[in-house]
Amino acid sequence: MPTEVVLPRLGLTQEEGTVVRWLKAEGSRVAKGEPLFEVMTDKATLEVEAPASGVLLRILVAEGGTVPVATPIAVIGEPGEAVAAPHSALGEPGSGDRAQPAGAKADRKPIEAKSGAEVSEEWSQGKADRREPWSPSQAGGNGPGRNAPAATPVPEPTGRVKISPRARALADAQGVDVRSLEGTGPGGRVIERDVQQAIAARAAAPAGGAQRPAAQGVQAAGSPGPQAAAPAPAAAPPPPVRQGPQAAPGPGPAAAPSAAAAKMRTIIARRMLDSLQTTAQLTLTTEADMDEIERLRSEVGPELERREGVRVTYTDLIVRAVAVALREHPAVNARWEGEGVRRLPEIHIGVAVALDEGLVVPVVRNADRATLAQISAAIRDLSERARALRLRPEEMQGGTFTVTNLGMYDVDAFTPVLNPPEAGILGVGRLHRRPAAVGDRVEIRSGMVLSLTFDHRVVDGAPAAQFLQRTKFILEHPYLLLLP
Amino acid sequence: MSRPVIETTPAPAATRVLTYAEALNEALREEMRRDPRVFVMGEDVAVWGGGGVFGVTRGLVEEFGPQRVRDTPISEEAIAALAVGAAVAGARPVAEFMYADFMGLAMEPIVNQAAKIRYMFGGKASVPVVFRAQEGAGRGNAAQHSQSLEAWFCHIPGLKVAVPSTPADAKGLLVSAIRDENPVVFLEHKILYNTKGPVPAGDVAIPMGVADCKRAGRDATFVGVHTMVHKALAAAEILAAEGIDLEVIDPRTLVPFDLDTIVASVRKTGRLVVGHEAYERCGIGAEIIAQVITAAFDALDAPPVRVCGENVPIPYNARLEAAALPQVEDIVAAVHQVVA
Repeated sequence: MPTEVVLPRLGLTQEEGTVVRWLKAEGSRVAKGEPLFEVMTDKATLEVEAPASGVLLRILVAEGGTVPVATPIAVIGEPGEAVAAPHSALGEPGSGDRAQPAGAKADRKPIEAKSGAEVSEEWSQGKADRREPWSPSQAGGNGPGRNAPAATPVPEPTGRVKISPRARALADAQGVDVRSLEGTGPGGRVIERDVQQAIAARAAAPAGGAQRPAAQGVQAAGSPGPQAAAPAPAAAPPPPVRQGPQAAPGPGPAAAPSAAAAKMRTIIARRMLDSLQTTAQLTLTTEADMDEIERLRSEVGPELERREGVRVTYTDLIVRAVAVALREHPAVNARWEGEGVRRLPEIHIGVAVALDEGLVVPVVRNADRATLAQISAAIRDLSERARALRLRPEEMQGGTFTVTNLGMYDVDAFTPVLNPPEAGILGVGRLHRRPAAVGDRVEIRSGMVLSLTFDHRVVDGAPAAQFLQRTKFILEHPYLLLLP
Repeated sequence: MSRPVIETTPAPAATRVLTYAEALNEALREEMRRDPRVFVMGEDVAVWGGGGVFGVTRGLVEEFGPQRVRDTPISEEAIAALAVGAAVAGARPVAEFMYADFMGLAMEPIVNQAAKIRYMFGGKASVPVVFRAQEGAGRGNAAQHSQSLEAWFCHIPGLKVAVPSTPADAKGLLVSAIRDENPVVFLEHKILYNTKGPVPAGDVAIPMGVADCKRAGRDATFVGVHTMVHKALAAAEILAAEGIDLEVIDPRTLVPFDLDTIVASVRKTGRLVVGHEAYERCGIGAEIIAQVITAAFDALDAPPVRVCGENVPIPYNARLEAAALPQVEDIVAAVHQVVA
């Protein structure tokens, strides 16, 4: 019996993926476990192995095609074996020929992307065709139906949304399409905060726009400035958007490399616009004297390289400094959750990595508990794999704070854009020699500007400034970085 | 009656700190002074040890005499049946069972007589009796002296069930139970007898069927009885440090049950954790969760979770006993689960 190859779910919140490249041609023989195709998910490209041995009888989704998770994308079987039309590759909705027996459909055209709604409708149609009602337990078995799904496990019919009753009630009341939501509850369940976030995003978007912010044009963000009482700058300067948000190109069968870039751009566009429209962010800057840390790096660096095999960079030192400062200032290691602030028990620091295709932010877990050498090794590994587009989706999730560095481009200071739902991001400017006042004398010393963008909903100006001040202090007294 | 009835003069509404046992004692004393039909009976309530194993009836025999403070033979069936008969005949007995575990011997008079007589006689007879007992674990009293059996009585139509967790609730609810025309199973907790709390002086009846919010919160609702209220308050402090705001509600009576207060809380928080020392299986937690789901399904943002005693006989060994009982960290973990 032929085996269906489905688009795998590679990240907890992944809804769809793009087939970047087929590594086997139709008609060629494949062995179980052999790399079969490359799929692009939330900013990562991964090789996927063949789920069975046999001949790649048919490719259902061409390179560049984007389909929902669990959609069949190919069929593996024995030479000459009849290929039953997989359920989600049946005729177009409304074509009226669903009742025909299997095999009658000779349509070999690879399918285009389908929305969850269409696939869902096909599921319910297929159910109506059968003598016995479909149940999940039949999904992997030898069901009697002509569409008997293959041995490859099909998690759930696409389009069925795992959602809490409370979230569904709120979505119904507010007219939010639950299929458009990304579940952040246990097991990917859509819960109330996900619906609230969608409502907030919609409120910030132009009237009459579509549900997904990514599908919307640029909107001049209103100035939701921090209110009164806070001892902070009265208004945030409008942060420049690093990558101009643009109407996202719809998923289409473009060529693979540009498909990957377009996909990443779509995600960046949505997230950056979302960040600027749904948070109250503003930026503080200060300058740190870097003479001491240069001395530390020149003295300790070679030792660490000799003993641990790691070459400590300034980014590693700054990530370590930020982690230590965050531990002392937990108010910054927090997020806004609908009705209040949630402080996060662990410190995971994202490190922005620029790629030709765009920007990714892999995460150093529990950075406050890692030694300098461990941080250095982790950042090297993550950034190397990021450049090879080989990060796993979960390695780019769960950050609580981000560090981003534009110093190599001679940028002094800038206004980084928050990486939601994080409440803080530290921009690192160039490290350079300049005249500085030391007592009453002028000396040539190294300096570096730190730019902290924070979410004023989560933390007020004074505590944010104290965190920045502490980070500066640690960088200026860098032997603190060597403490546990 | 051997002594003159002393009329209660409304005391100034002062508040003292009393133990749970002292608060119960005060309720008995004040009701016995107020109403000559009220009397107490049970094993060793009068003479031995000066007023019951836990001292709840201490000093009563000195004030009210042996006719109104009666030691009984060691027969729970006799205690319950005598109390039911006295209630039907016009007295207002408060019958004490030394351990709730022993009430199995008294189920016929409680379940088939006390709970049914008013119904069987078309309302022409009533049974204004209070069955007091203490339940719960935590003292190394082992499997036959540590159970929490409130679910048995909640199951029977015709019985009211009170489960106070604080001295003030203990006094106010016992006053209401004594004045109630229907049989009330009044379950105290042995660990709570020596806990202290503010108790208003004077006539402070707390109505049956009114829950009390012991701590307001916005992220999750905890509903629990007896020691679980106190453990939840401790858990709430731990959770508060993480930024999780737990609401703690004590229903105070399980029959009648104040569903409205709990549903209002769940509508606010979207999340429910229920706790009791009693065995989890078929415990009142299951009933509470079922009622909340039926009334407020669309308010729930996560599946409700129970934090209950293990489904095992309660061990004598202190470490095993602690392991069989729900603890503060179990509540913290359950709240993490529902707010995840």
